[in-house]
Amino acid sequence: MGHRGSRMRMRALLSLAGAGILVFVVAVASVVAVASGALGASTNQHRVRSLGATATIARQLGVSETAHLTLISHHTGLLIEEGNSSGTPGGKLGIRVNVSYEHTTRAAISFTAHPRGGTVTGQGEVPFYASGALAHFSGTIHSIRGSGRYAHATTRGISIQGTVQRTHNYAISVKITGTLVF
Amino acid sequence: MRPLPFISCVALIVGLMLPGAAHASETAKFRVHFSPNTLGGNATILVDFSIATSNGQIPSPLTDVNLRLPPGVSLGSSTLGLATCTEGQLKAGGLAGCSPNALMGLGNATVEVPFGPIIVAESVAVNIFMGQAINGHTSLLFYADAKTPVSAQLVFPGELLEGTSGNFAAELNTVIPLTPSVPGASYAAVVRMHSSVGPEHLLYTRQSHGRTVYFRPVGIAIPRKCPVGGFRFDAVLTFQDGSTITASTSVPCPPRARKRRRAGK
Repeated sequence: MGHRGSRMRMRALLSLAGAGILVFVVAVASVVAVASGALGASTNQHRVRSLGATATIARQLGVSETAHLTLISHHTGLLIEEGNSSGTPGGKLGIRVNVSYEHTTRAAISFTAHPRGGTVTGQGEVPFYASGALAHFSGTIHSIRGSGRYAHATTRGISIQGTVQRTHNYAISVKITGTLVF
Repeated sequence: MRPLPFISCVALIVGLMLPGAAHASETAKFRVHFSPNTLGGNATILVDFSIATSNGQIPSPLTDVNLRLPPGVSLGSSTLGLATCTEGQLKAGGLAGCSPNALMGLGNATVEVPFGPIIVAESVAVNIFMGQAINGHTSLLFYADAKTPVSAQLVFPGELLEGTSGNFAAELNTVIPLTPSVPGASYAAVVRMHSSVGPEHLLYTRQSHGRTVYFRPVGIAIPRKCPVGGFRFDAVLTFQDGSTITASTSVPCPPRARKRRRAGK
């Protein structure tokens, strides 16, 4: 009886111990799982961050383009001009300068650049004034869109400054500078 | 400012003996025209205003004219003022001191000069030039040339600023200097002014293959669409006595061109 009783207690203890071990194992497994999950998440975040950082660096483009454009067509106050730009990223550049309709002292400007792999379009309004044979415009363009490689193009502001020859050819010289993120 | 007194002896004596006339409240009539009045075209803008007082006396001298322009009426695509002129050039050489290609408009004004109880009206020729830009704003230079009885040449700038009120796109703000007449008498007071800014009566020159070519500059852009009620202009006139009046006018929309019916229909 004594042996049987001790065996019973032993089994009970063992079963308790087994249950404890099981609980411990489960708990450890849970902790490991949670820890590994957390670790995995932080790793992922790190990866995202590092990828983001890499991507941001890789996809930032310093823009510095200069172009001398020639008149394609014009209506009252609207000049549509095209030409090739030099600088970064370079390529063909088209510009529409509306100096008449909305504001007398401002020009509504939109430009489309055709760098390799896509297009970048910007539009905005900048101050405009005439002084002799030249009219001047200068300001910041915040609205940027793109296509192709530049489909997600954004900017914190692209500066545009230029002159319009107020003689009969209305030739535009323009300089566009800033940073493009895409 | 370079006032050159050239006054008849009688007027001088009367002017010295008698005080200037008292001022009453000013009223103004104001008109603007486009020539030609064609939507989407380029035009000369003609501005007329006259100033009177409620009691018929000489008005207080005009010190500031703020001409408010409707949206779309702009110098942007015009070729008026292909050269610039400076105040120094005008003062030193008069009209001949500036390139004809800087001339943007012409006008005349009538000023009244009080010589005691006698009010003498004087005609003043006004020429409007393209000035050098001021703080990134288009500027005009007004050259007023009075001959007799008071001989004076005045140069004063007008600055084209962004509109700050209502539906006006821009304001041509012109500060008019006080014009002395005779010692002890009041300043000369503008009572009428007619001015035009645009290609009418203007001819510019350019060199082509060694020859001088004359051409008429492109006028001020008129929008393609006419707002309901026409193109509204306001003139805010400020006087030496501190009073201000606002006069409004509208350039009516031009009649629509009738569509031609096709032959046989």
